[in-house]
Amino acid sequence: MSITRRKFLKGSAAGLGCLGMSSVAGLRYVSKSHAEELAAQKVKYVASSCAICTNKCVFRGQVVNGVIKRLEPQPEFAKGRGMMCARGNAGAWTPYDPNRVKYPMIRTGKRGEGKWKKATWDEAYAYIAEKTNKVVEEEGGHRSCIGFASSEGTYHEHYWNQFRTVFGSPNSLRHATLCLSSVIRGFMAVVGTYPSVDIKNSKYIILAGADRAEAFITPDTIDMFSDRSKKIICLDPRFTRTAAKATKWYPIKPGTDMAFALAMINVIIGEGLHDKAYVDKHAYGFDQLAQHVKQYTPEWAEKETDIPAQDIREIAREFAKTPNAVYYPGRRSSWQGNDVETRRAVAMVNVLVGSFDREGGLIPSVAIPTGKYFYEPAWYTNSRPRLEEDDVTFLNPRDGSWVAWRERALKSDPYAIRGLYIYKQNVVASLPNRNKTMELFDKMDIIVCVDTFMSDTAWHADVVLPETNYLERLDPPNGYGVNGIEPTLTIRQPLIKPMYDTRSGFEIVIGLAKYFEDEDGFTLDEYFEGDVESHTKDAVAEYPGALEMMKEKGFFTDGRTAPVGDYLSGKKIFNTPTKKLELYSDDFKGRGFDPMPTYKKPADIGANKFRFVVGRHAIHTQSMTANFPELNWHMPENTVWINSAKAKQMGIKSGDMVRLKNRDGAEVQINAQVTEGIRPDCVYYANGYGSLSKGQPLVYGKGASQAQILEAHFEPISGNALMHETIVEIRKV
Amino acid sequence: MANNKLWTIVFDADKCIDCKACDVACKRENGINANGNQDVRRNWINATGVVGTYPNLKKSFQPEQCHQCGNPPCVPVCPVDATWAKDDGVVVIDKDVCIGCTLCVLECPYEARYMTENNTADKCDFCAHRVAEGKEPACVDTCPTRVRVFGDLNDPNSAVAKLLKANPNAKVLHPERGTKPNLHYIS
Repeated sequence: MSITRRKFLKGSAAGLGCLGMSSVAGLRYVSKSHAEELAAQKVKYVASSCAICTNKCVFRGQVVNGVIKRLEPQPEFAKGRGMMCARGNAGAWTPYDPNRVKYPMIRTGKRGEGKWKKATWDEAYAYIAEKTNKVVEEEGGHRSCIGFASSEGTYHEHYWNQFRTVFGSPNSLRHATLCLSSVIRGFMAVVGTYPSVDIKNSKYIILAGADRAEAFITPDTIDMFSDRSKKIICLDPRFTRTAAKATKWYPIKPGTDMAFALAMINVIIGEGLHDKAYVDKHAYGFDQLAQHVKQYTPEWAEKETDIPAQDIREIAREFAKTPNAVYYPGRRSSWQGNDVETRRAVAMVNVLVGSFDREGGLIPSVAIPTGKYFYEPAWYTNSRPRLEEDDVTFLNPRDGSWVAWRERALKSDPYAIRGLYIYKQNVVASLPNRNKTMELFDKMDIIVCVDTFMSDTAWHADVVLPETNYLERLDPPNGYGVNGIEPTLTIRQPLIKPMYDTRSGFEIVIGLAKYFEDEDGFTLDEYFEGDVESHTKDAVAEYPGALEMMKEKGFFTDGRTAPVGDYLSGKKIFNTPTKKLELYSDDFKGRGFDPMPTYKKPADIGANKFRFVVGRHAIHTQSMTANFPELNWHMPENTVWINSAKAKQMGIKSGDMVRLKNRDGAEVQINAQVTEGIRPDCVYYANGYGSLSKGQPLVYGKGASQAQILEAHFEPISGNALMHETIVEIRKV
Repeated sequence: MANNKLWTIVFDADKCIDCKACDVACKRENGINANGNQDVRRNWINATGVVGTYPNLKKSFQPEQCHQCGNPPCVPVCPVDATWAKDDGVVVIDKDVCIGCTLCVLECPYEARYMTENNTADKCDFCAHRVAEGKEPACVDTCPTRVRVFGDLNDPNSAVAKLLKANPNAKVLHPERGTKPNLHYIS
C-alpha cells in the first residue's frame, strides 16, 4: 500500500503541475474558479478488480476528494487487453446507489411487502439463529433442511461454502446449472477438460449461440473483434451484434445445432479432410464415428437446421482446410434436452481437424496455484445426501442442479427444506419459472439473503445482511474466472472506506458462525482462522513480490502461459477414461447414454407459437445491472423481439403491448419490438427487467422478467436448466 | 505557437461492437448525470438499424462525438464568445460565460452538443483534463476493441498521422458542410 501511495503522490504532483501550466496557456479555457477547484482536488489511485461480471478486469480506481470518480482500465492487465467495458465503468456508481442495503434488516411486513426494521448485526444473527435452530430441531436435528445458494464473483464465496459445510448441510446451489454445466460436461467427455480458446491465433471461428460481441469473455471478445481479418461464422436464431459483425450469419433453427455439427463431421470424414495423423494418434473411436455420421448428410441437416446444404458443405471444407480454425465451445446456457450430446458433437468437430492443444484452437487452461485455505470439516452423525442426488448423472456436489433441486424441495422429497441461506445469488430473477421460486419461498421458515443491493431475492427475504461493496473491500487473491491461456491472480482493495454498516463476506460468515454449534458443542466460528488480510498474504506467500505487485497493479502474473502441445507430445495425459480424445464414449454407453451424439429432432412447437430464446446484452450482466443509471439509460425498458413478417400477420406493430403466455400458464406483458432480426418462430427479450423489488426503482415493474416467462426443465446428464424449452403464445393486449 | 498540436481521433468503425463502453466511460470521467435524458451524451454510436430482409441482414455501428472542427460552425453563432477553438484544435466551452441560448446546439451539423441541467451547452472536449496529464480521452482508453486511435495529426510520427497515411480513403462526416472536422474514419 505504501508503495502505491508514494507513487500516487509523485504522479499527482506531476499532474497538477501540468494542469497549472495549461491554465496559464489557455487562460480563457479554465476559468479561475475551476482552476482553484482542480488545484484543491485530492486525487488518488487504487488498483483493484471489477465485480460486475465474471471476467474480473483490473482497473485503476480514481478517487477524487474521497469520492470514486472513475474506474480506468489497467493497461497492463493482459487478460482484459487493457479495456474497461460499459458495465465495469458503470460499477463506480454502486457504492452510491441510494437504494443499497445500508444496515442489517429484518422483515416486519409480509414477504415482498418491503417493510423492514433496522437491526444491529447481533440482532440479525440472533434472529436467524433462533429461527434456524427451531426448524433444525423440528426436523430431528437434520441440518440438511437448510439450502445454501451462492454465487462466485465476490472472492468471499468459499467462506460461505465453508460455513455451509461446518453447519452441516449438503445442499449447495451455485449458478453453474443455470449457465454452462452442460458445455463443461460435453467437452469433458471428449477432450477431458473445458478448454480456453486461443482466439488471438484463430483464423476461422464458428460461433454457435455464443454472442461474444455482447456476452463478454476476456480476452476472447476483444481478440475476436479487434482483428477484423478473422472469418466468423455465426449460428444464432437472433441477429445479435455478433451476427452483425460475423462474416456470415445463419438463423439456425433452435435445437438443431447438433445436426449442423454432425453434418460437418459427415463432410469432413466423408471427404477425407480430417487431420489423419492427429486423429490416428490421439483419438479413440474414429471408425465408429465415421460409420455413425454417414446418415447425417448436409442435405439431411438442411431440413433440420434451415441452413443450406451447400453452405454446410463449404463451411466444413473451409474449416478443415484452414489452419487454426476452431468451433467455439461457448459458455451460453444449455438449450435443449440433448445439450451435453450437442456439445460433444461440437468438441468432436474440433478434434477431427486437430484443433485441441494446438495454436489457434482449444487450449487447456492453466492457473497460478495459490496457497489453499484449509479447514477441518465438521462431523454430523445424522447427515443426509443432497436432495436431488439421484436426478442427475454428473452432479457436481457444490453446484447442485437448481431446477431438479427446487422440484424436490417443493415436494419435500425425500425430506423437507425449511430455510434458504442465499449469498449474492439473485435466485428470484435467475431461476426459470419465477412462480415456482416464489412457491418455494412460501414454504420456507427462514430466508437469509446477503447482498449489496435490493435484488428481487433480497426483497423477498426475512433477513437481509449487507455485504460491503466491492469498491470498499479487501478481497483475497483469486484466479477463478481469470484462468485461461494467460493466467492471472487478481485482488480487490478498498478505494474508499465502507460508507455504511456493512461487513465483508468473511466477517458476515464469522459473525453468523458464532451463533451456531456443532454436535460437540463448539461454536462454528472455531472452524475459521485468520482474516482476509492474512489469507491474502498466505495465498501468494510462495511468490516473492506477488503481494506487492497485486497491491500496486491489482493483479499478479509470473508471465506463464498455457503450454500448447503438451498433450500431443505426451508430456501430459488426456483426462478421459481412455486417455484419448473420445469420438466414442464407452463411459456414456455404460451409463445408458448414446456413445456417440445421436440426433433427436426437437418437438414441433405448433402453429402460431414461439420458442423463447435467451440472450445477452453488452450493457447488462443478467439481472444485476439493469438498475444502474448509466446502463439503464441505454435500455430503460426491455421489449420483445418479434419477426416482422410474423408480426404483420398478427397485426402487431412496434410499441404495441403484447401478452406472452407459456405452457405452464405463466404470463408477462411487454412492448413489442418488430424486427427482421429474429426467426419467425422465436421471440426474445433481455434479462434484468420486470423487477419485483422497489429497491431497483428504474426496473421495478418496467418491462418483463425472463424468470417469469421461462419454463423450468433440466437436462439429466449435467443437471443444467434448459433455457430454450419455453414455448409461448402471443396476443396483443 | 509554432509547434501546435492538432488533436485528432481516427476511427476504425468496423471494429465497433456497439457495447457502449465509450459512452459510460465518458459520463463517469466527465461527471455527466444524464438523469434519463436521452439528449445528454458527449459521444454516441450511430447504428444503421437492421438493414435488409430476413435472413439477409446487415447492421453497422459508427461511433461519433464532437468533430473539433477546424472551421467550427458552433463558434461564430455564440453571442457571448463562450465557445472557441483552442490552439490544439479542441473546441471548448466556458460554462461560466455560456448564457444557455442553445444557438450552438442548433447550429452543429453533427448534433454533438446538448444542454445540461444547468442550462449551459456541453459537448466532448477530447477529455482535455486527461490530455493535459498525458492520458488519452476516456472513450479511447476504455474501448474493448480499440476502435479509436488518438493523437497529434501535426506530428507525422504519431499513430493517427500514420494511420491516415496508410488509409488514403479515410473519410470525414459531412465534408460538404466545410467544417474541416478532426474525426477521421478509415472504415
